[in-house]
Amino acid sequence: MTDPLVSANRLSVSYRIPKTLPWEEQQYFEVLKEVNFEILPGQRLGIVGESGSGKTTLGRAMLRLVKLSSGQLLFDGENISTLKQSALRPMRQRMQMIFQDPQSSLNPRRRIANIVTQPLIAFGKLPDRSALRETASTLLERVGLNPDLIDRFPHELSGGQRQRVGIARAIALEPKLLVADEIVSGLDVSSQAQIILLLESLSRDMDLTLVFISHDLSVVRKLCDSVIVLHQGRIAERNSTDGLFRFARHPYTRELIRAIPLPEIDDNWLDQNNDTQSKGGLAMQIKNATVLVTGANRGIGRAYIDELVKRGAKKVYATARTPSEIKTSHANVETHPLDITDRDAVYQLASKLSDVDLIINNAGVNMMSALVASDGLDAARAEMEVNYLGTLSMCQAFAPVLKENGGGAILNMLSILSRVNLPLMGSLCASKAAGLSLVQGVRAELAAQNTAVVAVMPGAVDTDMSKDFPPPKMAPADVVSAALDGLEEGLEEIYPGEMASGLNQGLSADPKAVEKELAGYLPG
Amino acid sequence: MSLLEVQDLRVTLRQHSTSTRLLRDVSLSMEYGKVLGLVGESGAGKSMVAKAILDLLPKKAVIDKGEIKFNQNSLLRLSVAERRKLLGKDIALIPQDPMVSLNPVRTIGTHLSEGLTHHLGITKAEARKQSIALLDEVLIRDPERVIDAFSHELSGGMRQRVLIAMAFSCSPKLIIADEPTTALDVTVQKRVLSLIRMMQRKQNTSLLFITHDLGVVAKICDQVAIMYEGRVLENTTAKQLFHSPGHDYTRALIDAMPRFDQPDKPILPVSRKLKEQLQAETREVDQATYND
Repeated sequence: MTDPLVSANRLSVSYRIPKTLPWEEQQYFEVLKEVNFEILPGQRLGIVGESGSGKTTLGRAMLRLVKLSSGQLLFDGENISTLKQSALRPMRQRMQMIFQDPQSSLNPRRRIANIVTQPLIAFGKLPDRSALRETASTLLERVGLNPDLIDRFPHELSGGQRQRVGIARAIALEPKLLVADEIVSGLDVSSQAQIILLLESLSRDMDLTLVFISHDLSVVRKLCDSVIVLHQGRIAERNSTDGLFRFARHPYTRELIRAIPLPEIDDNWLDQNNDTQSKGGLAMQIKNATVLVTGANRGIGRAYIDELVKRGAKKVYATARTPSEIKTSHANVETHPLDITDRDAVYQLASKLSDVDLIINNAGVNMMSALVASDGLDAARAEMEVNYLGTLSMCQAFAPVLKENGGGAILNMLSILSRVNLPLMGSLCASKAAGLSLVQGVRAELAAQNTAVVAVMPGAVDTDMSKDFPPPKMAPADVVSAALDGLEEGLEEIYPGEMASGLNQGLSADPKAVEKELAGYLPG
Repeated sequence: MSLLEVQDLRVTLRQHSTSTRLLRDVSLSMEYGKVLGLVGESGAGKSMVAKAILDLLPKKAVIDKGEIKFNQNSLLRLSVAERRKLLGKDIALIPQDPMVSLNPVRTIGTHLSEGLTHHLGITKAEARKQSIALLDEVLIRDPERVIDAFSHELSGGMRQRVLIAMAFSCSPKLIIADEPTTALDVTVQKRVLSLIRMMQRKQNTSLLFITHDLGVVAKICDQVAIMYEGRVLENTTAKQLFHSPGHDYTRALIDAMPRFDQPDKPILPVSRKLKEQLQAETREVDQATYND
């Protein structure tokens, strides 16, 4: 494996907030919060985010143009996080920057020839001043400018031309790393297209590593091979460009993508309110995912296996207490015995299946037991053992696996009875309610590792477990479909079917009325 | 019947002994309550059209020919005083850069109530009340606080909202928006565009929307005029323009846009050949009209 050119470990940058009174305590504003990333040589990395997200600071921090408040920064294998500016200076030949505003970053009183050769002069690489004009002409040609422009002043050039001068100056020293900060945002489409094509060919021909900072994801998609999405000073998401656009996990990324106006008539686009859309959670794509399903031997679990294969999952681990009951003929389905109440077995499996990125906790039991009307604790204990503790063990064992694999998701099969108690099987409902609380807690704990934690709460489903339920019942395949759709959309609570969504609406409108209605179904 | 009618407008910049044509017989027409997009690269003359309507042309720019009719009346024949009465009241502007368009030593309230007291003749107290209502209308949270704030205390998106509130304050018939979202990021841009459209629909204002972003045009405009070197190359409905662009240059602009949903689509800068052809046409036009 190649060593990264830039590698940042828990990098933080804060700025001082100006004091209003001299004796006040100094306050700091943290712009970058413990950011970790690596940039491989030859990579073209896009950094996107809205203004104030810290993207410019991140670009400047990489070049040590701002002071780091903590963390470690390696450039070309060398730790530069605390190097003095004088020690950094020789390294600056290998790292250059193109600035956002070509108007203010070019000295208005110097001719173009002088501007583009300035870095060479500064590093004593142009001992013979007579070669200056010639070198300048070559540099201009490399960025597609007419060499006759060397005697002009910056104000005599157009915006696009000035930006190319900025690029010519940045590549004069043949750097390894080039940071471009919003360099096309002020240009019209034609000049923008020229600059993108130029950067593309330069990075290829000169073996440049390019960091391209922008808020325009369309441009990033064209130019970059991977993307970091910054949100409030943290990395919200990092992915290959293809991966990010095919499937944006973070709601903020989805908002950014949706906000790009495409040149297509769409009367509804402006009416779609971005505030409500951004409320979604992390999403997860089934295609190419490696999935583990518990309780895969019947009902909903079996339907999951079929649907996952249909949606192009890379691999499905189907588990059950008796794996011989799992009926499948798909080549990419692997069966494993697993009793989720056996904590050691759960951990053993987690160490074996290290490539999983989606866990579907489907296994559950229903002892059909009331609460007060039953005469023991056995049913309640059995239900809690599987539905709550077993699921918890799964989360505990597999959360580190998911983290290793970049986040992933945990989907827990609950029931609308997690929200309201049906006295007929009050003890099951209590365990399902514990399951919902578990989802909320695990979601909070795993948010930092970008893991989606989703609760699926259907109504009555047509399985042998619910054979005593009154109709209407949903087909397991429909429940599974709705659950996976919701996961792909980034929903955190999924209510498949009319019964579940109706009860959910009823619960938010008048929970007491729903409770009263279900109270009619008494045991016996 | 149209609200604004620009007919054969020709503007020339006379400096020293040289003269440069800025607008070459531009004709546009705007319907009541509709949005017209004015699109072109920098230097295409789109802002000049706006300046001619707003009486903000540079001192050395002269209108050689043409007519601007607003509500059937010629704007060019009005006296300075008469025209000033229209500006800010019936015709308003949303400027490009929210950072420099507000006076840093005046409060937001002062900016907002200026037009109200001047054009509508209401008292300061009444104007303040209306200003707070306006801020509320442009979805600024806590308008009671913002009204006494200075521009540096607000974010870019908030300032743009204040400028929108100012433009709509006297219920104008026509609003000229000069690249109102170019300085903003995509998410803020979308919110500001939604707001402009909401206000425009509510007051049934006509909107002249100047931009170089065809993506934005597709989302907000009913009609589009494509400009190059002070000429209108194509003037058509937005639907028609994106369905089948009539001019090669329009197509070239669309082809130059990168699209996140079509990663394999090549992006092509406007070709030199097309530009040379357009420039040759411009020279022809200039020669043909040299003696007018």
